[in-house]
Amino acid sequence: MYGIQLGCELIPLEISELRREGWDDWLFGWESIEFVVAGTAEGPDALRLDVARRVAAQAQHFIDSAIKHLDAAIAKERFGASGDWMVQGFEFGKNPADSVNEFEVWFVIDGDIYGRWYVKFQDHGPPLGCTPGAFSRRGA
Amino acid sequence: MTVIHLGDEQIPVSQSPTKLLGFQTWGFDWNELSFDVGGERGPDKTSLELARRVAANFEPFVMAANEYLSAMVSLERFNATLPWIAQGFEFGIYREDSFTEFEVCLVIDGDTYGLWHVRFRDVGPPVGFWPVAFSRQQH
Repeated sequence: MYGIQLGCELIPLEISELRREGWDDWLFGWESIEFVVAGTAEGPDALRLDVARRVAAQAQHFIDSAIKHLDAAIAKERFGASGDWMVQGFEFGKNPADSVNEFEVWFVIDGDIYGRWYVKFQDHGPPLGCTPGAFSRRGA
Repeated sequence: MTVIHLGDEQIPVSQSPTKLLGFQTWGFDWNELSFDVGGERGPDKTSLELARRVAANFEPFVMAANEYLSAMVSLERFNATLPWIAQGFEFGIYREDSFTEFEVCLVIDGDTYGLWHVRFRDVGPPVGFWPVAFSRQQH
């Protein structure tokens, strides 16, 4: 099974469009989805920002793949959740242990008030591409 | 050398060869489970004391982790069979970890490459430690 090939296309984005959040996170919005890129007080990590812009250009592929990954493991009905996974955002380097090739997409779902559901992708490069390797539920 | 007392036994706490984000880890074994504790020049005292308390009565946490995971995970879709079996516990091994949290690491038959973690947080009396998060990593 092959993953998603991360393309070279970058979404258009000026550094001035990024909003700083907290000490070292930088945010931008794309198609109503929030992208958070870790960095320093001076600005976002340039390599992670590059990955974020490329992921944003094909965000729907990653969302679909992540949902498939969650649905393969999670029984929503057991904890009273219903409906579709609703994407909230992508995160790049929020966990400092993550390499530049790793990022997460996160969701919420009706009925799980305190849960945030994350799927982590890792870019293995061609031919494998980006595959979902981990998922988690964290309390909001 | 640091030792802890569990029951009548004195358990040595040794330096682990692995280093996470520049954070040294320390560990001891108890009932075939590994207990890993973070710390700079030695195991952090608060984390080590929590590890000692959890080790002395670890079964309820393994049971609670199983209940927590079973409430959300579809084992049929993994072809996995209960129960999740504990491999070890982790206390403050990442810099952002709180002293009131720890994780239990588990595996389950049928999910060869899956490593599961359930995080417990002390939510205060009367509840005490409560599972608040889980993850499955492919390894």
